[in-house]
Amino acid sequence: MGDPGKGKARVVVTGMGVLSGFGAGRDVFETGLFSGNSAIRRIEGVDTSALNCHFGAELAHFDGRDLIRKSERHFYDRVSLMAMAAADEALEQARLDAAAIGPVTGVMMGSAFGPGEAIQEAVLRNSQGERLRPTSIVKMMLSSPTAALCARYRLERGSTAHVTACAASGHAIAQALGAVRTGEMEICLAGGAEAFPTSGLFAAWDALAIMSPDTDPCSGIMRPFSKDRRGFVIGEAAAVLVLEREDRARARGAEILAEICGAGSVSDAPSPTKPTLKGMVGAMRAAMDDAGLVPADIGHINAHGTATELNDALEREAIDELFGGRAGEIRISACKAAIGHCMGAGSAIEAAATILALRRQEAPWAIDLPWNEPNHDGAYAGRTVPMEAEAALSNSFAFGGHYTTLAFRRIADARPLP
Amino acid sequence: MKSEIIAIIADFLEVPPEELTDYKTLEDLDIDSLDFAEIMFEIEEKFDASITSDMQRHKNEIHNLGDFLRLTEELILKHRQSVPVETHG
Repeated sequence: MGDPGKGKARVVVTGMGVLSGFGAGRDVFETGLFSGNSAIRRIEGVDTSALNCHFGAELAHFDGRDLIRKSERHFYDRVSLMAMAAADEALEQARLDAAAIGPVTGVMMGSAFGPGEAIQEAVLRNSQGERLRPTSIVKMMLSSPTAALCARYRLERGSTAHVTACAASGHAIAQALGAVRTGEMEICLAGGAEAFPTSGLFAAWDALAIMSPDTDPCSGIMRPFSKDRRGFVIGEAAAVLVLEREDRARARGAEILAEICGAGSVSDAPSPTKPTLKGMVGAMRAAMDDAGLVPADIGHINAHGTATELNDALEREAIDELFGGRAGEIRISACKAAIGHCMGAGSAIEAAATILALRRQEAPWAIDLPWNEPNHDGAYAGRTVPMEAEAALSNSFAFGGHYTTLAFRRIADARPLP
Repeated sequence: MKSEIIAIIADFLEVPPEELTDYKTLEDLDIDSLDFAEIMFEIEEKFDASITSDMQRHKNEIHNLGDFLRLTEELILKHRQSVPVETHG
């Protein structure tokens, strides 16, 4: 292994909260993901009858209004309520007192589209000549998930909101890692939240014609890296990680889920949407450099894997370029086949998947090996395969030329999850 | 009308209406300026009366819930008198 950390303070993850198409809760997510089930179903929240895409991974049976007082409901869109539920779970798992962490804690959340429901409602009411509520503007802020957690736990350290499309929560976690390393804050709640698109937003995605129009779950709706892939479907999710320095976590006897040992972000935008090999290689290399890892250390990659023609072809090429002959030994997961493309929450929920994979030493939704065969079947089979991996990367490549990769390391003496 | 206004506030604050006694201040009830704006919105919707701007002008007269209720009733009645009643036929 390279030079872990290169003298930087080690930062660990001590709590995770997850909401996904599998339902609310990290356990539900883990069970669903590693059992090879898919959360992708026919969409119920949006009328897709006139559209091309009909499937997605909606978070069912989540209301969230019981999390707050009735007088607060006008402030918080669904996306913020999802962030609250994920953060509550993460703090509980980290065994941190939510009422006491404020002075030493900040929050960094990513969301590509933020409070879409509130924005669409305001636009519709206004267009129909109806009055808007006095607090409408508060509910419409793109920083809502971050702001909601600041208010919920009275956090006092510098908090930021990230909106860099489908790398938003990757950037949030990357900045959180830096803030905890430098001592800017002792604890950071880092992650992302993305509500299922409103009808307007969904129609806009549909118009772009990069979502899968397939309707037969038996043959896979979203098939990353397969030769007959036809695009992604959208997932709804929130995931929050509790980051703190390793010495702090050990001093308080916390369960350590994994070390987050590096993050790398680069930009490369020859066009707003076209992915590039340079961006993908650059982000993975930067994350390994930050972590003090070398390619030989990496045993697992959670791929961005959007099942679009160009992303998957370039991501495969980028991994081949970086890892050379070892690429075939790395266990690669394409979790979006199970939970959909969770947009601004994607990096965060896939960070959670990566941590679980390292702990279990299993790769969920693994791409069939050898993956560079021209006719391999891709990831839609939902296979979980055993692996031996001490370190892993998780990729997020977004519109706008935003590329970010997170690096995690297994903690050998981590106690098992309860 | 007073009991209906109290019901709106009680529902908003999730407290029993009998807790909303006249002598309590807005601070006692933990009503901040945005809560106040939301409550006024609910009242305006319920009574179909636009009174918030008048209420803002008289805000320094509100020392407790009793003042608020009295002023709100006055403004709603004043609004009704100023709006011509539609007649049919």
